[in-house]
Amino acid sequence: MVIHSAAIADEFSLRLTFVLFVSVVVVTLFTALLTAPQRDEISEFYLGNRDMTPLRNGLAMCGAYLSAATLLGSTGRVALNGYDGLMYLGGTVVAWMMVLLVIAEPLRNSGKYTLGDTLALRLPHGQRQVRLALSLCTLAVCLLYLVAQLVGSIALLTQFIGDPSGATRTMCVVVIGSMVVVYAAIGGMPGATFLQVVKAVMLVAGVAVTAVMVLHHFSWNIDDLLSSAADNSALGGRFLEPGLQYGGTTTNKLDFFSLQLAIVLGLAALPHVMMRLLAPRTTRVARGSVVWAMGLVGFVCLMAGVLGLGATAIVGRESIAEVDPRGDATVLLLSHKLGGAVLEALLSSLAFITLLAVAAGLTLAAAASLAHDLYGEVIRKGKAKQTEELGVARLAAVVIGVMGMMLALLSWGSSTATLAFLAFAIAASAILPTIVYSLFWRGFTARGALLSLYGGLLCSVLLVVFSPIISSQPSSVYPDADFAWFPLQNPGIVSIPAGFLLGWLGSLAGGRTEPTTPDDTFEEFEVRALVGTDQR
Amino acid sequence: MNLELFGRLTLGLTLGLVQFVVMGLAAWRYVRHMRERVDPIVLRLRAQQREREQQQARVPSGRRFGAW
Repeated sequence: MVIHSAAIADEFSLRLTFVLFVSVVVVTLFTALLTAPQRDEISEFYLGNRDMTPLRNGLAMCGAYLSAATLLGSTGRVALNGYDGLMYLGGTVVAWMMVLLVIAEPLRNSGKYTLGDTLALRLPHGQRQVRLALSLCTLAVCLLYLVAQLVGSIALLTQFIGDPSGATRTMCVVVIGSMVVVYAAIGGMPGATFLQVVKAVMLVAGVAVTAVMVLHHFSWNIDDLLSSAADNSALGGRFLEPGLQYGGTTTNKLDFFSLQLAIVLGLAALPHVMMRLLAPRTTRVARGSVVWAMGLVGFVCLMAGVLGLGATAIVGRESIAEVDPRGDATVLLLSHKLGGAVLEALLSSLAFITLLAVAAGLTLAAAASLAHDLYGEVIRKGKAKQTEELGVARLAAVVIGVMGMMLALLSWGSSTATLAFLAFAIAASAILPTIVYSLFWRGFTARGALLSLYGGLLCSVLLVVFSPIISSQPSSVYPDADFAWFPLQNPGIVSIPAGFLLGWLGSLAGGRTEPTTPDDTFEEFEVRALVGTDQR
Repeated sequence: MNLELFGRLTLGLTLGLVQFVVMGLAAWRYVRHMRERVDPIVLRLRAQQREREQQQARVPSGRRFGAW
């Protein structure tokens, strides 16, 4: 695995990027320090300011969700694969629809600090084992996604200085990783929120400005944009037809379906997005913020489509593929062509800040799960003092950050988008079944939860190990070995149904032997989930 | 999917755009439905539950059932 891309930015653009990035980091870091939780209360550290307006919480949600994989990876896929790339972008909005219609309100009403609290309320018997399993799954998803962000920072650096040496790579990951740790460990949720809001505003504005420039270039004629994209792709009409990336064999088509399934279902189970859902004090604000987040994400996705098509039309598909065969450089090439060094520097500093904000949210979510579920409830059995738990949470953030940095240095050559979509698949197959069953199915038991959490995690990880990502292909981690008997790149199509099935079977099997959940537990839970009795 | 509707805009691309519109409409309908039909019921139930809790708190637990 070698990154072939050469440096595409000049000295001036590099300096400007650095200045912009550092100034945003300094401002957000100081704000994180100023707004850091002062009173050693876990609610402030985990949830931050609970009286935010729907717009601000929605912006933070959008900032937590949109990663560099979207900004760089999706536009690249659109530019290289045309129609098949555009289809990625549609799935995202459907995913937010899932969150809005199914998960958001009952989860907010029944939750407290983490998802573990919801499960403890629903499954009081054996809640310790369930919390343990849940925090393991959360840790796996967060670490994988965190590694994806840090690997993305290396890929981004490559655009500026060419193939980085080992020392440069290490320095880049360590600098970005320690910033993430500072935001998460010291700033807690208030710090992460501020960073995410700033990033979301910058991202929406930056993408909108660039898209307007693209559309202006074609004098607001969409048809003109489409036909120049098709002409400059050297593929003609095929560029705007399905099948460029996922056509041909059935395996390819199944792979695409599997990926879309993971994108649509994974979002609802991502720990850092879930933490944002728990933050508002009232159901109405939670609903409003999901609607805002959905609108903003939808807007950014549409604009990303315009950027990708514009890049093919203006820069040309072949010169994009020449610089980076995965297409991660697309936005930067386009902005260089459209707005010169200034716009390029703006967008690349934006990409770095995007990485930082998503990584901070992930580290915080993993730290909250470790400290609250694993330390507070499993190890100390609910007897830990708040200051004690808070200390553990800060320590956990540091540990997770360091682990993420080390893993990122080990796997620096892999593709950001692949790692991110894997995290989605694992979240959808391990965590989502438990959420859905515990919110909506009376017969769900602790055994079912354990089986679906561990089973979904194991199933998706094993399928990845035996997939072409790890072996048998030139782009995989071990290109020389071949133990890839699972043909798909994305395990979702098998592991998500497996997770649901295991949860169902486990609940049925344990139903007769273990003490069944008393009916009033579920009824009490349901009243709380539907009515939200904690609010005035 | 490759049927060209307006110039280069194919049926597939149009369906992709329509999806965004449908999602927007669905979200709008959902929010309106919740605000007009569901929220009033939820508020009433919440108030009922609060009342019941207050009543239970007022009556000492020894004499909760009947005055006999």
